[in-house]
This record gives sequence, structure tokens and C-alpha cells, in this order.
Amino acid sequence: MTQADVEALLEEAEDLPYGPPRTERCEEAVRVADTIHDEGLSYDARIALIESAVFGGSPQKAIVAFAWCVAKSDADPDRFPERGGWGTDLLWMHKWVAGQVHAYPQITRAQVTSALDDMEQRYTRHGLSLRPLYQLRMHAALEMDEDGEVAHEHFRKWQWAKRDSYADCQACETHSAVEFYIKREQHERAFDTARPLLEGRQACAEVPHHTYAMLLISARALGRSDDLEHLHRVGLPLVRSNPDFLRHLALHVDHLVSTGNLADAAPLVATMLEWTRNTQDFDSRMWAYASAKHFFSKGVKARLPTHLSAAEADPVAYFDRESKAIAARFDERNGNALISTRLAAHP
Amino acid sequence: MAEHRFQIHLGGIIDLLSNHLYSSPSVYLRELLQNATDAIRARDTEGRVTITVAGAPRPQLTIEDNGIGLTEDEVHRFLSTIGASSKREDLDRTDFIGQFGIGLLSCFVVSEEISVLTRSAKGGPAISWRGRADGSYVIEERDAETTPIGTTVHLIPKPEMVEWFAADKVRELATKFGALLPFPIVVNAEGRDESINEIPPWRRKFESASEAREASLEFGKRLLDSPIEFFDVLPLKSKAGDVEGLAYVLPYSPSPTAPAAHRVYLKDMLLSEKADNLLPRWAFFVTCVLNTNGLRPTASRESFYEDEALADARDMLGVALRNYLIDLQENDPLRLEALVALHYRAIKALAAQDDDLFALFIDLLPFETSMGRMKFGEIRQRYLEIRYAPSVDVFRQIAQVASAQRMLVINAGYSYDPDLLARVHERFPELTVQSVDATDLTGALGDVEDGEVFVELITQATRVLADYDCDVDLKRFAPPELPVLYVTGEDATFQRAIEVSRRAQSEESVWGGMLDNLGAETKDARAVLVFNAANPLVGRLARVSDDEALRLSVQMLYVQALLLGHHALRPEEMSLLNVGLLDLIEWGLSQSRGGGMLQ
Repeated sequence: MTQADVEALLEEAEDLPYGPPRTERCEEAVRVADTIHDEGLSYDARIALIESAVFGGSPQKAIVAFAWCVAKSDADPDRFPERGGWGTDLLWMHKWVAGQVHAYPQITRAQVTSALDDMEQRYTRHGLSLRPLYQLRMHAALEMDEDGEVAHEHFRKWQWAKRDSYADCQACETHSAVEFYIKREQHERAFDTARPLLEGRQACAEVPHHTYAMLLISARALGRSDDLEHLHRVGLPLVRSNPDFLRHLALHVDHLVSTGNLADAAPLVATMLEWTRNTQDFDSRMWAYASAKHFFSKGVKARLPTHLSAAEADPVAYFDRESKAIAARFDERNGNALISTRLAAHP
Repeated sequence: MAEHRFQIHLGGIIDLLSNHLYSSPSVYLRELLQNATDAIRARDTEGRVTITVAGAPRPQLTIEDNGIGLTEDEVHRFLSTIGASSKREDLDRTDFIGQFGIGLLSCFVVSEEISVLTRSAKGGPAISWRGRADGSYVIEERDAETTPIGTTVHLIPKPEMVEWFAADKVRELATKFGALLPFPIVVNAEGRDESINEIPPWRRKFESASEAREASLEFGKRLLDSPIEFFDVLPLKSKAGDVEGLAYVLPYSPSPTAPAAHRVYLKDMLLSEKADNLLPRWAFFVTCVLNTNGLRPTASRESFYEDEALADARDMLGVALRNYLIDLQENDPLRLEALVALHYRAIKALAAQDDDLFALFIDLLPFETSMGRMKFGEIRQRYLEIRYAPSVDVFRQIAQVASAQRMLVINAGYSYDPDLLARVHERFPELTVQSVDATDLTGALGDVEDGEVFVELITQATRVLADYDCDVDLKRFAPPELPVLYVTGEDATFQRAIEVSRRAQSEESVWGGMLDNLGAETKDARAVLVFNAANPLVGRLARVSDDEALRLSVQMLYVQALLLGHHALRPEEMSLLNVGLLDLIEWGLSQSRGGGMLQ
């Protein structure tokens, strides 16, 4: 095993679409680099792993790799500068990682807060605008705080803060605002805000993929059936082939099941449940299970993947129980009933 | 209270435009052609455009059309529209006058002076307008008798922009943007007239299908500037968006991560050479040349507004591509096979989300397996029980052993494979398809009947390897050359990654505690070292009575298995390598004097 092996793996990864195969190549590159004790290579491979894992549906792997890189950078900032070049910038990646941690109920509230505070210190030290930090705090609050005013307060700070080169792209920022309105149940505003995304004027790697799926919630709440159809039709192909979009695929399943289209839902359910095999993102897993329960509650029979053989006997009861169990873990972590209340409102 | 209007400083706007908005000065010719085309279409006449380049060393350009022309009132209006927007796409599409103004404005990127002589088909005098890049202009009436209906625009280049007026450049740009326009475009330069038009294959009639195919292939190779022949070509058409054109099947397998780039014309004028959202995402095995009359581009000109018309058009183009593949299956299976061999990645992406295509293609798709590379059709004829490893890592751990047992395991560590395999049972209920991890597989290996012979070895090994969070098992399996098999699951691998990262954390790190909590989920996941009772070395180890020899041997087998499996060594494993190996040599030497128990 040599440096060339690591480089070959990373090159191969770069040529793959985001998803487990790409992430796996990067993980192997990390292991090989660690084995041959080439710290520079270990660092590069982890940087590649962070991106692949964040966008490929395994954020927990990104957290682990990121923690290692930050430790190296802090210990030897000349060799591993925090503010690296394009694609190797830990400050930029801090956003990705700090924005994921709240989706794991085993991570405490204090730890979520400290990941964000750590980001605040680093951004401040580099003289950067805290705009993306407030945006992330808003998202964390939307997932952890029952009092919507907490998120709203961060929302305002976010909007008022200066945009600099570390701000999310326009498309991502617009989507963030849309998500804020959806979770605050201001569905008309969500639609208005989403216009540049829906018309294709703003786009990036994950947006409007997320937007189309999330707006299904608003379209349903507002009873706009034309919009529902369009959102589903344009949005589904965007999220159909990468487990990163598990939560969003589940929203499309909900839509099909709610409109009685079980035949179209069936293959999506198969994919969705296959994707739950390796995900540790409990938030996505919970919503996928909730959608599966919704689907099976219509009396449909379908074969389950091996890792869910326990559900075979009574899938409705199984997915109901398991999704509620995850919600309970979130509630316990959050110290309130936010997530189980949200889950109970699921169709 | 009086109402005032902002005074827009034209010089400033032009500077903004030229430095920030237009991707290249070449847009000036596109905009002039677009103006001429709009004018001709508004008049509904047999159109004709002449572009003349004359003068040296500072050539000037004149473009003349026989379109609808402008009245004096309209000339004033287009001037007032300038600055309302900087791009055509942002403006109301029916506002012909405003569009004209924007088009003309872009010419200031390359010109210091622009003059327009125009006479409207609606009557009135001819109008001459002459403007300069600093924003000053004059308007004069001219005799209608001596001026034909239509518009002539004359540009005097900025000194630094002369290269954009060279005859070759003008011919090249006019061809690039306007070659497909359905009326004559003539470039007059260096004393000769040259018509740059070409009728695209989809508007031509052909004697035979092969003639159409050849002409289409030639057209695409030239237009798309492809150094190699395309694999195939097929016509595309969609009523929605009024789209028509050709799809070229690429002769190589493109990276699915590379952005799509299709050459798209809007009403026969080139809109973009890298339009990205007109075809379904899975269509990455083709590159297209398309004209649309009914879709609305965004300001970037590289995509279209995500409206119903676009969604319909994309669906219809997708259907045309699917039908092409279905048709090949029926009429030219050899070509289809070659196409699948080339583009199986795209087809896997497609089949993973489309039932019909899944049914059509699954048998042709290649998979890597423990029994070699095989098409799925072959696999399902030979095996009723199909196991697949969900990752390359798992596959590598078990492939050698599986193949020695003549057991089929598919390596599903490639994009779309797990999605495809998860759906096989739906289509072929007689097959059992299941994902296996390495421990499932070792569970299926042969049990050891004379287990008591190995009790001492297994007991010792379990004790030794407990220090490394590794369990021990004993099986009898082929190939007999393999003494041990190290198997680990996703969780155990993740646990190892967490440990490596955890050790790098300093006291004050905010991430350490988080890593501990993440690891709590998988802390019970352990790797297993499976000893092979069929292996002669293992057989001999079972008879070794020297504890020290046994310990060293087990440790070395363990480290070797880790290295073979590309697993990073933890510090304590590293020291096994460093210290253990030396110990083993020393022990071997001491034994060789005394008689050698491992012989």
C-alpha cells in the first residue's frame, strides 16, 4: 500500500456521484493513508471524506473525520491551515459539520451548542461574518426548541449579518429561509420565499432538491393540489438516487401515500428502507420509518430488506414503535416534547 | 410636490455591463443578430440579413435587416428602456422595442460609436440615430424614399476591441449564433459574400434512414466539435416547449459528476453551449443539439425556468430516449449490448428508478461478483440464491473465501447497485436476494467437527485478541491456504475510525465528548478473526504447547490479516508489528538451536 493507492482511491471517488460508494472509497483512502503513516495524506483523504460523507448521507463519518482534521490543524496550523484553499477549508467545513450534529440524539444539547460556539470563536478569530453561524443556530433551534421565538431570534440576526465569502450560497440561504417558514408553519411565506428556487434562478448541489420535498408539507397544509403534483414531479428525480436525501424521499412517499398512489409509492419505499440500512442520521431514519408506517397502514404487503426482518410480522406496529422511540430519544435530549409532537402530526 | 426621475448615466451603465454582466464581448454579434431576427419575425416577411465588415486596419461592421424597422416614437422608447434591465431574459418577452434597446446597448461593450438607420413598415420618415459610449446621442429624420424598410446598424470599434471585428471572427460568431436561422444570413467581408446558413437535419427530408443518420452524425461531430465519432444518434422531439433536435450517444463513459452540457437554440438562435436542465438527470450518456420555441431561459442562459412546460418537455425527451433503448432491444440487440457495455453506469442509474427500464435492462447489466464479472442474466440463470455485499470493503473481506466455496456474492459497492438489487425480488420472485455482511457469510461456513483439537488454540487466541477488541471463531473452509479470515462490519469499522479521531483530540477539544457519544452506539461492534481448521498451519498451531509461541503466532496472524484488509493499525497493533515480529524471530532462532517446534 502506497501513496499512489491513496491518490487512486481519491481520484476514483471524485468521479462518483455522492453516495455510499463514493464515501467508502474515501474511507478506505483514510485507512490506507493512516496505515502508511503519511499524515499529510491522512489529512487530504479525510478532507475528501468530509465532503463525500456530508453530501452522501453519512454525516457521522464527516463529524469523525472533521474532528481529527481540526485537532491536527490546531496542533500544527502552519502545516494544516484552518483557512485552507478551495475545497480544503476547515472553516467552511465547520458549517457542514456543526449543522449536522443535532440530528444525532446521542449528542447532547451542550455538545451541539459547543460545536456552534467553537465555530463562533474560529470565525471571530479570522474576522469573518457570523452570518452562517446564526443560520445554523436557527436550524438547531428549529430542531431543539419548542419556543419558536428562539429560532426567530437567530433568523433575524442571520438576515442582518453581513454576507461575506463564508456565507452559504444564495440558493442555500433561500432554502434555509424557506425551511424556517415551513417549520414555523408560515406556509404562504415559504412559497413566496421559494420562488427563485422553484423557477430555477437559484440552484446548487442540494437545492432545490430539498426545497421541492419540504414544500410538499406546505402545499398540503394550504390544500394546493396543483402545486403538490408539480413539486412531486420535478422534485422526486432530484432526490431519487442519493441516500443523503432519505428524509426528502420520505416526504415524496408521504405525498404518494396521501394521494392514494400506492403503486408508485412501493418502489420508493423499497429504496427508502434500503437506505435506512447504514444511516445513523436518526432524524432522517425517524421520518423514513414514519413514512413506512404510513405506507403499510394502507394494508400493502411488501418485502422488507434483511436489516428490517424484525418488522416482517407487523410492519405498522414496528415502524410506529421505532419512530416513536427515536422521537423519545430526541425529546429526552432536547428536554421537551418538540419532536414527538411533530411526529404525531405526521400523516 | 414635483415628481422627478432618476437620471441614469449611460456611460456608467455601459461600464457595468461590459465589465460584469456579459461573459464575453462576443455577445455583441449575438445581440445584433437577435435584434435583426426579432424585427424580421415582427414583420412576417421573407427575411434577409447582411453583415458587412470593411475597412483596415480598424474594420467597421454594418448589419442590415429587412425587418419591421422603428418609427421615431419607437426610437425614443427604446432609449428610455435602456437601463430598465440589462438582459433580455429579464424583460417582458413581448416588448420588442425594449429588447432592441438592450441588444443595442450590449454593442457598446465593443464599440465607441453606434449608428442606426431605420425605417418602419408602419410608415413615417426614416430615422437616423447616432450614439456614443459616453451616453450622448443625436436623432435626425431622413428621407423615407431612399431608405428601404428595415434597420441598418453600424459599429465603430473601440481601439482595444478591433480583434472582435476581424472578418474571420465575425464569420465565426455569425455562424455560431445564427447558422440555423431559417432566412439567409450573408457575411460580406474581404470582397466576398458568404452565406453562413445551414439547415439542421431535423428540418431536412432524407431519402433513407441511413442517409439521415449519416448527415446527423456529421452535423453533430462538427457542431459539437467532437474529436471522435459519436456512438449513435437519435431524433428528439417534444410538443411541450416545442423542442426538436438530436441526441448523440457519447462514445465514452462520461463522469456522472460532470455537469450536463447540451447545445440549445432558442427559436433557431444559439442560446447556450452548456444548457443543463432540459433533459432528465439520468441522460448523462447523451449530449444533445436542440432547438426550442416554447421554453423560457433564465438570465444565466444556461438553464430554463422550472415551469410546467419544462417539466413536460423533459418528460417527453426522456420518453424519446427510453423508446430509443427499447427499440434497440428489439431491432439491434448487438448495438444495445455495445451501448450497455459503454454506458452501464447511466443505465444502472436509470433502471434503479424506472420499472420498465429495470425489466428491460437488468439482464444486460454487468456486476462484479466472487465468481468473476457477470451480467445479471447469467447470474440469475446460474444461481437462485443471490447474496450481495453492500460495500467494496465487505466484498473484499469475503470474496476469496466465497469464491473458493463457489458461492456467489455480488460486489454492490458501486453506485446504484444496492438500489437495483433491492428490487430484483419484485421482478423475479423465484430468486432470493439478500444483502450480507462478512459475519453473515462466515456463519454459513463449515463447522468444525473435531473442535476439541482446537480448544487450546481458540482459548489462547480469544484471550490474546481480547486486548484488541477482536473475537475469535473457528470454521473449516476453502481455500485451505488461508489460515485466518478477518471479518468486520460497518459498525466495527466506524468504531475504529472514532478511536483514531478520539486519540487525536486534545484535553480542551469540544469534539472529544461528541465522539464518545457517537461511539456509544457502536461500542459493542467487534471484529472477528476466524481460524480455518482446514489450514495446515492452523492445524500445527493447535498442537503447539508453548504459550509464548502460540501468543506470538496469533498476534502475527492478526496483524497480517489487518494489513491485508487495509485496516489502519492502532498504536498497540503497530507495536505488535514492531516488537512482536522481533520477538518471533528471536523465539524462532532460539528454537532452531533446540529443535524447532514450528517445523
